[in-house]
Amino acid sequence: MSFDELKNIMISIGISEPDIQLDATREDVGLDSIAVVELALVLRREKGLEVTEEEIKAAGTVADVAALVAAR
Amino acid sequence: MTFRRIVQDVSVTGLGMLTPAGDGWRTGWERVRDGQPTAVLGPLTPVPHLACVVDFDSARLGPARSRKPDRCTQLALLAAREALSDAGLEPARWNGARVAVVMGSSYGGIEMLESEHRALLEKGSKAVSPYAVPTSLSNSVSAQLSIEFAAMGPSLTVNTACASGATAIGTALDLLALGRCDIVLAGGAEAAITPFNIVGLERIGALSHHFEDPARAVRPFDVGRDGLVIGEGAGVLVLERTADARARGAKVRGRIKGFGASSDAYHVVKPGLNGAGLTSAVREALARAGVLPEDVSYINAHGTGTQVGDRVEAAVLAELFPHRPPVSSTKAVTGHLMGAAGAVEAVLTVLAVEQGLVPPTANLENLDPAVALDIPTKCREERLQVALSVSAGFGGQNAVLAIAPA
Repeated sequence: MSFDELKNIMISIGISEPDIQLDATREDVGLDSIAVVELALVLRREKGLEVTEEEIKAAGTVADVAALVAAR
Repeated sequence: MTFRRIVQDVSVTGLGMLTPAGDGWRTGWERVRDGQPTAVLGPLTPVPHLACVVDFDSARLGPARSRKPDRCTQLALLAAREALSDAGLEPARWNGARVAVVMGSSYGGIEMLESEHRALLEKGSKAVSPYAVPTSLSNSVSAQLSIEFAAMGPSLTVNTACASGATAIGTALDLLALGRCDIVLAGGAEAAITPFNIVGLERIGALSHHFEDPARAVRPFDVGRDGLVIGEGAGVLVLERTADARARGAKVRGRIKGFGASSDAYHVVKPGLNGAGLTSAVREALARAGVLPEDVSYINAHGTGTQVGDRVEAAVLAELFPHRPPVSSTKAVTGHLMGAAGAVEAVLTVLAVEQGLVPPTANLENLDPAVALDIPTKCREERLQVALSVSAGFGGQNAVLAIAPA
């Protein structure tokens, strides 16, 4: 999955577009514990990507999340 | 029994309505006024059924979000937006601490509850949205309105089953009378055309089986009535103390003069057969409004189209109002909107008194000989003074509003 696709999904779960920068941390971008659960769910339901909540929580920055989904 | 007169001069300054009869109060009212039913054959699973469905553009809610509210709350949000615009109020400019939200709903987010429960059973816990609980709780209907409109006063969802919308408006009157707030967004919302609700109502035997002609299925007070048709929708009224409404130069659409509530204290489904509970609620609404039965010039009945419900209600109204004011059931057009019904019918009653028009009861061809009421089958022009909107819910919970012109 491309960064743009990930960005669109993040926007769809209510994350503010300007906040979505590659070097932003998970906290900066508002990927709190609920948003992490939702992101994993949307990736699975809508894109068929199996990324676990634990993997997303372990990611430090948006770039790390992007790398995670790019690899699937 | 005597009821205390409570002086509460509350004005309706805004109306919002999203029902199977139309998107917006204007189109909905026109269809009700013209007596054009909306029932269609519903999706044939898991049992055959009829439904009155809302057609709306969900894109109007704003950017798509997976944490989007349940359909019930979506309908409430759109009806509330219309009511605020109608009232000329802008949340960006109001003192939100003095704004309350009181919404009625029987189920709240039942569609979300059912779909997430299905996901849990079929795909496991990881398939369940983190918003499953907060969006399916019935408090979400009022909570999301409070969030959307920065309304920081009391925020309540009330539930008296199919009387919920009317109970919400009655509760709003009390909040205004007590000075707990200055503005209330009051109404009801329901979106429960779901497998659980349809099957459950079918098991009670409450649903119409006139599948051969869906539009003619709901026949309130007709000898051929055989049950209700479920609808979905929302109605919202902006309520303010009349002095406040006048002070800000608001257009007053009508006034809520009184409210009565009671319980049959009898049965979880059946209405109290002697009508004592409903009679008590009507009497309280009249007493609180400071009017006599003979002052009532129109009644928007609960009139669901079930055999026993219509019979009990008709007997109560015939007994209390021997001068035979015109009565109508607008459910023949909208279907039974459950927790939204009382609010939508309050909106329709405000419009009836404002415009001096008694809406007809569609599909009434052969009046049940046991029903001794004047039930127009065509829209009738009449100067209306005091009108009642009558609601009753499962469990015997009754709510009656007395509504007058501006």
